[in-house]
This record gives sequence, C-alpha cells and structure tokens, in this order.
Amino acid sequence: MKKTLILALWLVMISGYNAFADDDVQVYNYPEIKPKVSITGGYRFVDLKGSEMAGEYDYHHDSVTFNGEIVAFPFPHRFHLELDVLNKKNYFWDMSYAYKDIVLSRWINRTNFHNLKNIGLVDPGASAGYTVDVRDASERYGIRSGLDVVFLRLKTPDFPFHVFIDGRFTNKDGDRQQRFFGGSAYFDNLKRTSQKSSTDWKTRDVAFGVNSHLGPLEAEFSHSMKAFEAGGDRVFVDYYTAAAVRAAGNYPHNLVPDLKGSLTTIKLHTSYTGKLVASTSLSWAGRENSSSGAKADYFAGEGEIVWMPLTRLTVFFKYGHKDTDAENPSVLPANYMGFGSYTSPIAGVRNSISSKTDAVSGIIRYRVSKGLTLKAKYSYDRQEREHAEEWFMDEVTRRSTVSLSADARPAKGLKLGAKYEHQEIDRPAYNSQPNRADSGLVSASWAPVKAATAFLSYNVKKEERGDIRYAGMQPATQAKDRDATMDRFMGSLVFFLPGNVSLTTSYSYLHSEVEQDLIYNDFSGADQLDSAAKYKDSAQNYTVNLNYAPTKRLDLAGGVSHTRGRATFSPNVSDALQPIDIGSLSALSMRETGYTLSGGYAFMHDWKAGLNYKYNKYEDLIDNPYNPEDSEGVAQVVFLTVSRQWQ
Amino acid sequence: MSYRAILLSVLALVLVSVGCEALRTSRPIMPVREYEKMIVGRFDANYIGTDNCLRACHHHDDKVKRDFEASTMGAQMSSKSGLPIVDCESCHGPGSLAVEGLTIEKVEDDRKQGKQTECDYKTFIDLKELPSPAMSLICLKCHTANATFNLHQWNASEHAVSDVSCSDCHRIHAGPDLIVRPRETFDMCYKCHEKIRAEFALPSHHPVPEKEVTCTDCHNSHGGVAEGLLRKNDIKATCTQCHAEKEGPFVFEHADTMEDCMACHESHGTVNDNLLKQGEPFLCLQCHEGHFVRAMGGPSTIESKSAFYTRCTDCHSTIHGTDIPSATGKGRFTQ
Repeated sequence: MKKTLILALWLVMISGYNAFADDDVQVYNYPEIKPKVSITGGYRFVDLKGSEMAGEYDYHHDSVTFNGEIVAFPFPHRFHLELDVLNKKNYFWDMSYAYKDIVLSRWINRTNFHNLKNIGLVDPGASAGYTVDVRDASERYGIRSGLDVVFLRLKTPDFPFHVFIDGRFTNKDGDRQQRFFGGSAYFDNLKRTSQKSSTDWKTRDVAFGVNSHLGPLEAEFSHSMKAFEAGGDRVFVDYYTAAAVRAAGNYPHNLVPDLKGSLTTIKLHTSYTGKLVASTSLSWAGRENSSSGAKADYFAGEGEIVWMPLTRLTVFFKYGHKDTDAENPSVLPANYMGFGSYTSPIAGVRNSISSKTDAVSGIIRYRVSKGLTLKAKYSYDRQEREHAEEWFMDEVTRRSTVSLSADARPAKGLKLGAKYEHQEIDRPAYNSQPNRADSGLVSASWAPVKAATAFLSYNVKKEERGDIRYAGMQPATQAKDRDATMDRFMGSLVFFLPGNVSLTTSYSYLHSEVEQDLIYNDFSGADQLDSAAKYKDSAQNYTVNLNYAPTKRLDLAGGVSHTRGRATFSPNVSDALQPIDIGSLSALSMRETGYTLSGGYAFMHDWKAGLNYKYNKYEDLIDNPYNPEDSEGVAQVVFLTVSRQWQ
Repeated sequence: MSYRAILLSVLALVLVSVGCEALRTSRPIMPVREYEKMIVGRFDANYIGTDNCLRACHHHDDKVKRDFEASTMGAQMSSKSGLPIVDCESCHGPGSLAVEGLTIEKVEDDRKQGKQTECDYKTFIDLKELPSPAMSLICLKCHTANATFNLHQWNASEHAVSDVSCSDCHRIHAGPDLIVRPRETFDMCYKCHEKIRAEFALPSHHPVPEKEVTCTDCHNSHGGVAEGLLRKNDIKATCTQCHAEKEGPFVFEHADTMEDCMACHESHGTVNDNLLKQGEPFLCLQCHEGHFVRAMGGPSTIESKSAFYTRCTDCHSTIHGTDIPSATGKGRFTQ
C-alpha cells in the first residue's frame, strides 16, 4: 500500500506541473443560484394481520417519517442532500459535495428491513428415526440490511489525473431461522431442527485508486481490501447422538466464518475517438477464510477491440481469461477449530476445484438503413478443471453460441426486435446445463399516436440434454433425458388521455417446465429410475395504474396489482407416489393482490399535503399439513404527509 | 519493491512521457468521416457563445442556464478563461446561423409580448437523427480525454453494441448533475427492459420494485468485464457484494457451483422461495440422487418421505459451503 501511495503522489506531481504553469488567471464571476430546500414530515400507520409476506420488505410498525432535500450552489462549492426516513429500519440518504472539478464526493446509504419466514417443521408419525425439534415455534424473523456506498475523488487542476477512494459497507442485523440436521446427523437418527439465529454481519470493501488520461491512453489502477466479519450466533454447538459413522458428542454446526481478501485491478483503454478502440482490464484477487484457512486466488484478464471501418459497420472483439486457484486443507487436524470432540484428524477432504477459462467472442453490427440494424455474434469458451476426477466431473467443458438479431423501425413510433440464439455445450458440468439450447425473442413497441403506446414481448427457450450424470457418481446409464422449456410473454398499454389522465395496464405470463429422468436411492442400495419426472412453474401478473391531475394543485393516483404463482413437481415412479406423492410436499400455489391510492394537494406558499393508502394481501392457496406455511396475511399502510418547499 | 510496483512505475513513465506529447498532436476525433461531419455542425456557421444562445431562446433563461452553469461541465471548468469549456455549441454545433438577424431588442420585445423568439434551430446539429454511436461520441469526445470513471469498457459494452447512447439515460438538461439518482434507475431501466419488470413482479424477488435495491447495485450500465453488464468481474463477485457470508472459500465447497450463483438462482425474481430457479427438492434432484423412496418390502413411509422430500436444505443447511465436516467426515453440508 505504501508503494502504491508513493507512486500515486509521484504521478500527481508529474501531471500537476501544467496546472501552475500559467499565471495569467482571469477573474470569473460565478452565477448566483438560490438553494432549493424541501421538507416533508409525515406519519405512517401500519396494520398487519397474519403473514409478514403481505409486506415482505415493510417494517410493520407505526412511525413518524421525514423526508428532506437540499440542493445548494455556493460556488465554487456544490452540495446536495436527500434524506428519507420511513422508520428506524428503513431509511435512505444520498449526500454529495463537490468543489470545482477538483473534489467530488458522494455518500449513499440505503437501509431496509426484510421479513423472513419461520418455516414450520412437522413430524407426521411416531417413528424414532424421523423426528423434528422445533425450538422457535413463535419467533418472528427479519433482518435489517444497511448499505453505505462512499466515494471520494480528488482531481489535479486542469489535468485529468484523479486519486479516488471507493468504499462499500454492508451491515446486516436481526434474527433469522436456522434449520439443521440434529439427532445423530445420520440416517439412523434424523432429527430436523429449527432455532433462532442472531445475525450481526459486517462487510467492508474499500478501494484506493488512481486514474488518468495520458494522450492516447486512459489508465486506472486500484487496490481494494474486503473483509467480512460474522457476529451474533456465528456457530452453534449441539449434542449429537452416536451414529454408525461417528461417536456421540458435542459438535459444531452452521459456522459463519470470517473472510478477507484483496483485489488489484489495472484498466487501460485507448481514446474512444479513434477508428480502432481497444481496452483491457487485468485483476488479481485473493480470498481467505480466517476460520478454516481455506484460500482461493483469482486472475481475470479481458481485452476488447472495437473497429469501425464504415459508418454502417462495426466489429467488436473480446477475449477473456480467468484462473481460479482454490486451496483447501486435505486433512482437518484433531481438536479442529478448538472443538475437542474431533479427537483424531479427519482425512480425505476433497480438493476444491480450480479452473482455467478462456472465452472469445465477436460481434458484427451492420446498419442496413436508418431503420434497420442487424447483429451477428459468435462466442466460444473453454473451461478446464483441476481435481475434476475427485468430483466425477468432466475435466473440460466447451461451449459455443451463435446468435442473430435484428432491430427495426419500419415506421414512426414502431419498433420491432427479433433475436435467435443457438448454443452447444460439450460435456456440461451439471445436469441443469444443457447439451443444446435454442432461444428466440420477438418484441414490438408501437406508439401510433402520442397518447398511446403498446408493448409486446415474447421469448422462448428450449434446452436438451442427453448425458445425465449424478453428483459423486459414475455416469448413470439409466437416466439420459432432460428437456427444459421456458417461455415468457409481456404486454403493456399506456394511454395519455385528455384532462391530464394517464392509464397504464400490463400483463405478464412466465412459465418454465423441466422434464427429466431422476434417480432415487432404493433401500437395497440400487438406483430407482423415475423416467420423465416433471417440474413446472408459472406466474401471471396484472397491473393497472391511473394518474389524474384535475387541477394544477391536485394530483390523484390509484393502482391495482395481482400476481398468481404455481409450482408443481410430478414424479412418476410408484414408490415416489405411495403412501404419499412426494411432489405434494413441495407444491406451491400463491396469490398476492395489492391496491394503492394516493393524492396530493398543493396549498399556497409551496405547502403540500399528501395521503397514501396501500393494501396488500398474500395468500398461500395450498394447505399442506406436512409443510405448513403462513397461509394468509393482509398489510395496510396509511401514510399522511405535509411538505414545504423553498426556492 | 515488488515486481508489480516496478512494472507499474515503468508503465506510468512510458504513458506520461508519450501521453503528454500525444495530447498536443492533432488527429481526427471521430472514428469515421461521416460521424465527423454529423457532429461538427454547419461549416459555414460561427460560434457565438452560450450567453447569446440563452439570450435568443429566452425560455432557456432560467433552469437550463442555471443547471448548466452549476454543473461540473459549466462554470466549474473555467478557472482561467472565465468561459465554460463546454457550452451549448459544444453539443449543438455553432449557432451563428440560428440567430442570424436576431437582435437583443427583438428578443426583449418578444419577451414583453410573452412570445418566445424563434431561432433557426434547423441549422444546429440534428441530434435526434444521429446514429447512437455518433450521439455518444458527442459526449465521449470530451469524456474520453477527461479520465471519466466507469467508461473503461463502454465501447464494446452491451449497451453500446445495442445502440444505446449516453442521452438515453442521462438527461442533459434535467438538472445540475447528470448523475442518475439511485431510486430513479428502476423506472429508467424499465423503459427498455420491460420483461425484467415482469420478473420483479414474481413472488420471490430482490426488493427493486420497493426501491430498496437498485439496478445499478448489480449492473454497471457503462460496461464491464462479465456478460450482463455486471458491476463486478463475475456473477459470484457481484452477488457477494451483499451476500458476503456465502463467498468462501470453504473447506467443503459445493463442487464449483458456487462460482456461478445462477446455477440455482435467478437474480431478478422467481416463483419459488429464495430466488430458486426450481423449487426444492426438484432443484437438487436434477443433479443429486434422492434419498430412500423405498423401505424394506415396499415404499418408504410418509415420515421418511416428509423428511427427505420437503426441503433438502432442512438438513443440508450449509449448502453454499462449510468448514465443518458432516457426521461421515465428508462435505455433505449438514453441519
């Protein structure tokens, strides 16, 4: 770090000579601009009945609210502050300060609250081998997440050389459910357990860098340090009964380790105003697990060349290389991490997978006419894995993709788009990746008159796979087929009606389906094939929003949103269907309906009053006795505000 | 001094010595001659200065003038000349033909009558008709020489390839700063990415519609190393900006699936909990053999099926990787 600082200062000194060369400074009178200030105070009444999923990202408590904004230009200083406080778990600010073009700084904070589910575990029988231990029956869970993004840039006067600091800090605190495998943690005593876990996680990622434009080249160097610190319940220790594979004792579980790492990046690019433009980015990253000592190093290099031989024709070329070097201990010592229950070393830890990936792609863009552009893209990548044999994976995966697309504007207000893509993968790593995939997209946007716009989009993707193999196993010769389909439709209509009325309606349909041979373990140890088991999910969403401003002082808005989602897993083999269909245990069907109403009235002297109402209803439409969810929730929010603006 | 520092010092020396000289040389500013013509404006026009532009178009007299002068592109740049380096004509082209025949007296008379003085705007560069690369080059001709942040991978980025130009996102006359406000990105991005809006309406989604997370938390609209305009070098690095606890490395890794979070998750929204592509247990059964569906003499019981086929993560609760061995001493993600 010290060397980097010296180098940066040295560059500042060299590049700054130009700033002090000319003493002929003329006085410049900055314009006078009055500051703009607005303040809003309010109160939020919140009512929740049932499941928090009715307002997943709402903190369900009444609160006083505050919103304010200041924009001021006391030249040569510039200042901006926006602050929005909904409650103690949900607030936002965006603050920036600049001095001439020499200092530029910004600090953004976003803090929100996420309600989390308390999943109920159910024991449907009396067998001692399969039990549950629910330690958190009435707990309500949620995490407050705070993100601070800080940026400070210093520039030399009259020369494009910058020194910058870029920081990103996240804090997560609250309680969440921790489910884990209790009992013996083996098949002879399977006790599903749930309990509360206190969370207090902090991440900081701070980068220091320099950046300059040096004639034909722009260069940037940065170095960042990242650290993750786990507070709260960072590890649990429970008593495990003896199993065929392990003695009884107190063992740790669900450890959240501390992590740290660094990233060094060099970026170079030529001037964008040449016929041939090139850029490159080189990054070296290191990550270390402070608890276990596992390490990983990464190198990522990427280069781009853009060549524009003609106004109508542009060629884009990219090459990328990535090295992943993972290093984990092969033996865990006795008394591992200070836990005395590990009385002897544990050997045979599988080596983590390291890999090298090369990727190359080329795009040709041809503008046939003012209203028609065609693009063709070809990409190829090759990933080579180290230690693949320990994981029964293929050592090398190759993927090639070709796509053709067209964007047209055949008439004023009409935009059409189409794209076709074909992909071939040789020896994909996971069954969820295809051997072949084809996808297509068509879209149309039409604004026949200024008062109306229509948008339609449909895309479909089909995947095929013929060489299924299961994790940790040799190729499964019985299972060989996988087909997946995904299609999505989206349509919207926007009307701007006379009398300051706008109406927006939209509809979307999303569907995906996978049909695949599955394998289940049999009691005898043999595999049982479930040929063409099917998974399907779909969702539909409708929205209508109306905005109306009957006078200059009054604006009104209302909206309705309705979402329906379903997911089903349909096995075929008889053992998976008796005495209960295993697909029924995970079936999902839900409905969510929301209404919003809002209005604002402007009084004399820049005063404004606002009233907002939000109603949201969440319904789980499946009453599954073995997998109970919060079945229904209704959240209502009434939000009153008064604002004043000065300028 | 490490080899890296030596390399950097040599590189910096070469760049500075070559670069400073290169700054003084004359060369074409546009990649192709047609663009050069498009964005330079009328050759028979002369530059008249921003003050004259704003006098002629008196409806610009307030906000546009104020916002422009308050910006880093306006008054802030002119410590010596007293004139902004960037002015109206930097983008719109020389304006003398547009105000030909107009006088201050006529503008004042029009103003008193409540009229806007009309200039011959057709003599300016026809910005609306420019191809998007040329439109972007109007901005880049300065920003490429100003070491503007975030633009390193712009030229081959998916936005640039797809004919998106700077002004599609940055409203040049909207305010003093051209920075897009975080909470405005949602609506701005949807103008083109309508189908992503549909994905965010799904039951499980990142809180982007709620404006708690923004598109730019994950995406860098100016380009990046990874596909999809990701903010970081790859998917894992992007996701672990916020989900750092899952980054690892761990003693027991989930093969190399953790290098690509998208093996199991969709980032925008899904029907299933936790942004899973498919629901459990099917998601896991695609790659893993299921536990016993059959007991001795017949199908296994409701109890065992309930334990094995409701949610795999009830027991395999450290599925993103762990440092604690399972009961067998292997990495089964149960502890």
